[in-house]
Amino acid sequence: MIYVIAKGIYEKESLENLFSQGEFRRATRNMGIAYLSMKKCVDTVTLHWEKIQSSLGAVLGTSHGELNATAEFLSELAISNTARPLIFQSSLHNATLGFLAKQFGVTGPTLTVSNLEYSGEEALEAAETLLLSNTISFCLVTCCDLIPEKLSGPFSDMYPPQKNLKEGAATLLLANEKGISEIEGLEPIGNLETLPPKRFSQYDSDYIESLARTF
Amino acid sequence: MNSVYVSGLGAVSCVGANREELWKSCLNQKSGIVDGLGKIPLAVREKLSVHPKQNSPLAYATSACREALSQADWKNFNSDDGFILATTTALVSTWDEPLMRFFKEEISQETLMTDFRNEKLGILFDQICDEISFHGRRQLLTTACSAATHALGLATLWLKTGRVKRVLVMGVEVISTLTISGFKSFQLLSDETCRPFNQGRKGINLSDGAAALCLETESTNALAEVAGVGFSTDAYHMTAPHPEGKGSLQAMRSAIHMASILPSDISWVHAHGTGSEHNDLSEGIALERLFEGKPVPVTSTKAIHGHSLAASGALESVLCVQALQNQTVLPTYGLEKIDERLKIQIANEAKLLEIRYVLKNTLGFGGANGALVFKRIEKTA
Repeated sequence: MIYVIAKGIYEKESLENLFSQGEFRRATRNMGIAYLSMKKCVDTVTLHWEKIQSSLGAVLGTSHGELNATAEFLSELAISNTARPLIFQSSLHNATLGFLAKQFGVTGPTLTVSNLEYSGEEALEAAETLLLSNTISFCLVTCCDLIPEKLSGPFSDMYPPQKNLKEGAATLLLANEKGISEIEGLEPIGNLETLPPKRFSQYDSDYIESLARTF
Repeated sequence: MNSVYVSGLGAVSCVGANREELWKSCLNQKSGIVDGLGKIPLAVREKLSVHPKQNSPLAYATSACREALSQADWKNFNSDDGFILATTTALVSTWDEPLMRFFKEEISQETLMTDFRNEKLGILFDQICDEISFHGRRQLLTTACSAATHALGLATLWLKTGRVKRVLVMGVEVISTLTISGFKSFQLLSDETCRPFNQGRKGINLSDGAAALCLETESTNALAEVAGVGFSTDAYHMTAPHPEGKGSLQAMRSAIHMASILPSDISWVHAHGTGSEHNDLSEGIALERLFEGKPVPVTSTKAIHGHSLAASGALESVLCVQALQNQTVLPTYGLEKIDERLKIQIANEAKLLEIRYVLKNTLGFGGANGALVFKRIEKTA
């Protein structure tokens, strides 16, 4: 059995304050919205966080990843022939989770999955595998996607209007039997026995968000 | 939990169109690096089972898959089979330059869209699945240079927990304008053949590459066993590994622990060994701490086939399995003088050795580390 311990959903809060602080000055919008959803989730278990961290991994599902950073890097390269390393390092799909792992001190497995509209579902499946094999006892599962600023035109060609594209990020904290049994007072808010039907995504990685809203 | 066996190998690289050419090149020290890059040459492309045409990643991936499937004798896929793909950039080489031309207003959005529809990593996965008629459980991992090692690790966990009975794991990467410019901006690229762990090394050689491995819980013709897997994260820096190799050490220890062995049981290490200053130092320190003054031979083969990023863990795992079969340690090309800060034993010549366990280690951007322990199949009388 996989238990849901906590959830966090990015609810379109302003990122202005966040991006004015320390390391967030270099963060991408994807990193920002994913961070907010993860922080909300983690903030609900602060009492147990140290114990959770000792056997914690994370999985991120995203279809387009850090495409905005990729577009920015290629745009500068094309127009001014300048290749900026700080933008390149943020352009990889796993840059988001690399950033989050540092912020939340995740030292177990961190996997980034990306497979079209299935990204959220596959993130959940990867987390389940890590938990059911007892590789870790707790796993943060996050999904995030957004419409890259520089590519709004091509995106309108790529997706039909009825797809209702929007940005979003959500996080679930999951635990296996071992995790639940080892921390006294840790109460699940649900379990993953029954998952929503597959492929109902309105946008690419909203599976986790839709799932989080059911708890 | 179930045991997991490797039953098929396939590889396409700048040194050859199949696994044997890769092995022989590494054994005989024939590098495929030209002007600092490991591009798959025309002579190799012409030998592939699928013609590259405009889609090299698909051709390389499909050829490597077919070679592995043939060796494993998997004629068809079943509903309880799995497929895990590792890639960082997938089809980016088909759309990065068109996108740059779009930004320079040299082409219209309509023209751009012909190529830009390939942008999602999953598009390549769909194409590969179509080519090999796969319709089962699948996963695409994109954890930078550790992606294929993670894919092999996750596949092993799928099999150990009974989620599937067989898994095809593959990594594929093709050099692109994006990756060359990006790594160049970090001043990480060497314009000559890389020299991992060498004093005065200049950097890495990016390369094209695809490799596939068939994993299953029951095999009458197993080539090796996947005895242990380990994952960890540095949580230290976006690109640089932990300077003391903390995360890498944790991943290797986890893999060894899962294999129920001790570090002293490892006969040979196939290192990540990119030839970059930070990677080699961090990995070297982690290896030194792992073996605690009792060093085992360590090899990097990246000077032969280059660094194919997400595919590297799969390509080098193919070599690990071949080393177990041949009971041969591969050499590290071009080692003249080991970095004096490193206290590890670099294998600089091919030699026959009784190898029971091989450790494959990988590090990646985002602090993503992965390690695998492969075990020799013991012959029964």
